[in-house]
Amino acid sequence: MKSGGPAYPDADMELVRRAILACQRGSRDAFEVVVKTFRGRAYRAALALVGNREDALDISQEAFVKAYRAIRRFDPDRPFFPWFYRILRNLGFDRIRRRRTRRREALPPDLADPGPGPEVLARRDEVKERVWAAIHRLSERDREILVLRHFQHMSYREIAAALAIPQGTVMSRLFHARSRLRAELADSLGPEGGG
Amino acid sequence: MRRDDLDELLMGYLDGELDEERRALVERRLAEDPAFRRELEEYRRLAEMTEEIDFIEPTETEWRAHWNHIYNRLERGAAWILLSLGALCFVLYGLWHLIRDFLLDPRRDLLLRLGTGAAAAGAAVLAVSVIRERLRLRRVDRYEEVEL
Repeated sequence: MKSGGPAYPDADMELVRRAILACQRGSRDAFEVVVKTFRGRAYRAALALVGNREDALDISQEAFVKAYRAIRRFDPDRPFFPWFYRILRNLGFDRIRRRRTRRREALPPDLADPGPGPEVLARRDEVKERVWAAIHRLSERDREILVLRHFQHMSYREIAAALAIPQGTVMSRLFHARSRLRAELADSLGPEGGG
Repeated sequence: MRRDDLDELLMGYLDGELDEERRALVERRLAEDPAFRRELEEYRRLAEMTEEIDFIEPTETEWRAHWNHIYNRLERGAAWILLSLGALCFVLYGLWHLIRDFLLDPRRDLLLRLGTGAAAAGAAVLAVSVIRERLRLRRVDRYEEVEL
């Protein structure tokens, strides 16, 4: 499956809205509709943030549990994913922070973080592996905005809602993130660059 | 307009997020400046390369386990709350009887009552301290080390 893909049709959204209303009335079974609709996006967003599939699956599960527990505070007429993403990102950052602390405690300081491996990529070639590694050399801040735009295909408005920032800031953060990624991949972007 | 502002607008242009006026501004600059056109092409290529990345999706079995895990957590959440409430009732009931039937009972040995009272008070102070520390840790920003 492609990393992002279009969002879901309006019919699905109506189904999700009704499921959320049922969850707000206490139905746990109705939450399955919500999970099935968003589990792929949640998994891919988590994977792009943390870099490995076990953590990504774990974080997405945890985020859905937390989302259900907070579902009464959610306005079902608003898009679900930007709201849900705020829960997911906190868990993702928390996982990264804990992993970093564990690594700091376990390894001598001169051992570099090997970063995420390419084994999570569905179709592997040299360029994709280089892009994936470069994305993971960026800061979490840069990586996140690229994930939302390129892997989640979110509009600036949706990104602004997910990160609670103005739309102008989305454009500015995308520029800085892409500039740094462009510098990382300078060799691949020229007319002779791989691809 | 500053170069930085135009570079940022270039992102909006690339992503189809600009209104007509700002799109015209970027297009005017693109028509005049070959370096700016090259920059747009590089960012376009970068976006394509990034979007070509696709991930191995979880299998149907993994998704089933994923939902089962979520459902079980939700179901057990309510059970934990009820269990905690029940335990709290037991503790309060026990404390009440400890005080009324043992600590305040003059027929019991005074030293034994003092010792039991001190141990119970110590355990209570420790419990309050641990709970307060937990609550304090939850309030502070757990993400402050994450670079944003």
